[in-house]
Amino acid sequence: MNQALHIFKKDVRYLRWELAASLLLMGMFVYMNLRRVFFRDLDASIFSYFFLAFWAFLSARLIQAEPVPGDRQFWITRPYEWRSLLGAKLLFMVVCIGIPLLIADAVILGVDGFSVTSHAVALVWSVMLMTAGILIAFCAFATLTRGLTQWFLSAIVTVAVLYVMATIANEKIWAGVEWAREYGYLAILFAAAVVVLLRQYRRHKTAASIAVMAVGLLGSSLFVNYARSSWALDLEARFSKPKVDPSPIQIAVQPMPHSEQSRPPGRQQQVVLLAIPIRISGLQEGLDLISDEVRIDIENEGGGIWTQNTRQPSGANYLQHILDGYRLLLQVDRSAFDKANGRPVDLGMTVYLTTLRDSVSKVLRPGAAPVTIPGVGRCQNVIEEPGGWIVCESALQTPPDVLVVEFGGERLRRDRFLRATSYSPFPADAGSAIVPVIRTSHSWSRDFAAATLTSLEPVAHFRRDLKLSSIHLEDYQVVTR
Amino acid sequence: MSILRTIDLTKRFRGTVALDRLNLDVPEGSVFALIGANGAGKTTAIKILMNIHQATSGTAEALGVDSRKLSPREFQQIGYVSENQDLPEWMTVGYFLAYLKPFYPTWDDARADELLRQFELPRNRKLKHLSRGMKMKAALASSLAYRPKLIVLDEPFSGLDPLVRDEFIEGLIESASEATIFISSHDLSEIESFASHVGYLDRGKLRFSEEMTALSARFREIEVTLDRAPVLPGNWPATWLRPETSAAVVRFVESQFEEARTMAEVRKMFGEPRGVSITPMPLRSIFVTLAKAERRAA
Repeated sequence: MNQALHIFKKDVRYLRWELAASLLLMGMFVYMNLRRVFFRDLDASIFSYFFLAFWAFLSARLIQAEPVPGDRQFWITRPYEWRSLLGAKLLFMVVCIGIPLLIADAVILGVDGFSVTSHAVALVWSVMLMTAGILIAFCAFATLTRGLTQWFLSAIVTVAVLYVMATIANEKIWAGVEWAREYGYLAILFAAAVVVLLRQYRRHKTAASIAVMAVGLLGSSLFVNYARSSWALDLEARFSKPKVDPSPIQIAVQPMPHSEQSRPPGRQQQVVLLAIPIRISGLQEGLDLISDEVRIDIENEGGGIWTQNTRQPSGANYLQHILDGYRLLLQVDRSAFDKANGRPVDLGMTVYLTTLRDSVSKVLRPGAAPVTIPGVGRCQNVIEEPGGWIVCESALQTPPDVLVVEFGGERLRRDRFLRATSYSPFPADAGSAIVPVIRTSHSWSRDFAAATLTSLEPVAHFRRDLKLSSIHLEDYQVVTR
Repeated sequence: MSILRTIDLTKRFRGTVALDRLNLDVPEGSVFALIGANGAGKTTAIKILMNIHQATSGTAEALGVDSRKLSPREFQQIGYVSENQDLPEWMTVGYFLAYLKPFYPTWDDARADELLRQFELPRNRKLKHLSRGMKMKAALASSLAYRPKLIVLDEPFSGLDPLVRDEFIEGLIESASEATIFISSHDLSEIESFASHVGYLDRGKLRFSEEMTALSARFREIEVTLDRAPVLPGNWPATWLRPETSAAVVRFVESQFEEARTMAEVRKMFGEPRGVSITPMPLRSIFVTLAKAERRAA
């Protein structure tokens, strides 16, 4: 421990100018938040990238004070304890980045009107996530390079590869379970980083460590871009503790009679919209249902199977309330639809559902002070041309409740705001340390009307498997002109 | 007792053999000079002994410990200085020593001050602002201040001007009484002045390893003056190296010199010569002789 402290003190002295710059950045981060100068949403994310880039540079400077690869560095023939050296580097990250960030976040939350004490656990958790998931990965990466030039070139290549992978995959947000993707990503990165750090400081096996880091980076990127949200929803359905037992809830599909009449051709879009009428029973009074995702298997007579996950894209809900009940709206690729070519097919559907319970309703007048909606955050009806916007802010975490907005008595679709909901069991989102106040703008009304906001508390997650045999897809097609 | 030892130590770099079954013993208390041409494997041997590189096969030991298992405890007793070592250049000389001090329980402040004075090192100057010679002296000072049991120096004199070399060697000689010094160098004339043992490494193989006095004693340059133009006989002894003839003179280097036996051999080869001159050889000449003989043999 003494040696670790000794090395730590040396590193602080060595990197005093970089540390001063880091603290200055933190100061700017706090100031811009407090003054609210163009610093929400887009600006916040741009600033977070800047922060990350600077910390990556700082960690490279820190680690390369005692570079691991190579055979010329002075320290390798000195009585350094590898644990002390590694401990000193991690201590630096915690003390010089983690703690100032924790203080900066606390100041922002406090001045923004959020209770710091009630968010204390979330604050520590968010900074811990940042340290464990990102800063340790930066350190691990830096142990693989000999100097700043090598580090810079490797970092550019790595970022480019990860960016291209993300662009090709073009993955959308996992409504409700986005946290699982973020935590999964951090867990893979953390595991790889820990292995690399231990191997590098203990054994100096750079070639093998590069392979581990590459596997970690590619693995985490593949996970983020190609993992299925249905995996997370399955886990959610299996392991989350329901507040209301969902087992009495039964869902049945209602087949449509086959019509030989040719339907009028709709617009030839790439996606065909199907509406499957369903009947729901066993849902207690005061509860509502929302679908998180529907997985479709279409099997034709020849045994060919085509599978598609229809995740919640922004706004669309696949479980739709209609006058006389519910229907499932499914988007099917035109190519799959055309393959069926009027012949009967079997349609299997796995529906991931969440039961919601109305909790609190509050009225928001345009321009009035923010109102706290439990489970959602602090919301305001902001006047901003061309209308009144409903803007909600929450501290460190995407709100757990689904928000419903009604303008002038017209209740908007409930599912619209699922994307701003998280079923996470953890107290803070993965990136919340650098964007502590999460802001979401929900809906706007052209006539600056008062809005009624209701939060719906998720009380159970479950799945149901449905099947329609020998149906004709065109019987369910919603023709759009 | 050996303070450094290798047994059949072999190192290959992508098919190139840098060390070929090296067997080396460095006795405690000695000043052991490992000499050899560029690429002979001296630095590789040292880096394996210091656990910087890993051997392909064989074993290496330092202070009686397998070099792969050298721990901070052993490094507290080892001072290592290399010609191409990267120092923390942002540190001042004074801070560099102050930073290293807590790593060594045997650190001696008085000795550190004395070394700084002796080497004329400015405490407040950053390492990056020192000349190459000054940097080497700073590295040496930082490696002698804790009175290590073993001092390992890899080509310490390369590129140093004569004055700095002298200062460097003076510093070393003062430590020689309490430490074993293992030094690899091309600078044979400097080494000769204080080495007690010498090992000759050629293309990864150790050609000899012995006490300096024994080496100096067995090498002699011999000049035989005859009455006639000499013809080198077919049964030329293998220990007579680099034979040369001119007019009525034959010159060669005897590598196993024993006066009586060598003179008897000379008489057997050339009859009764007009004169025989026997000259002791400096280490540099021995090294050049051996290197040329090896090259010819190869």
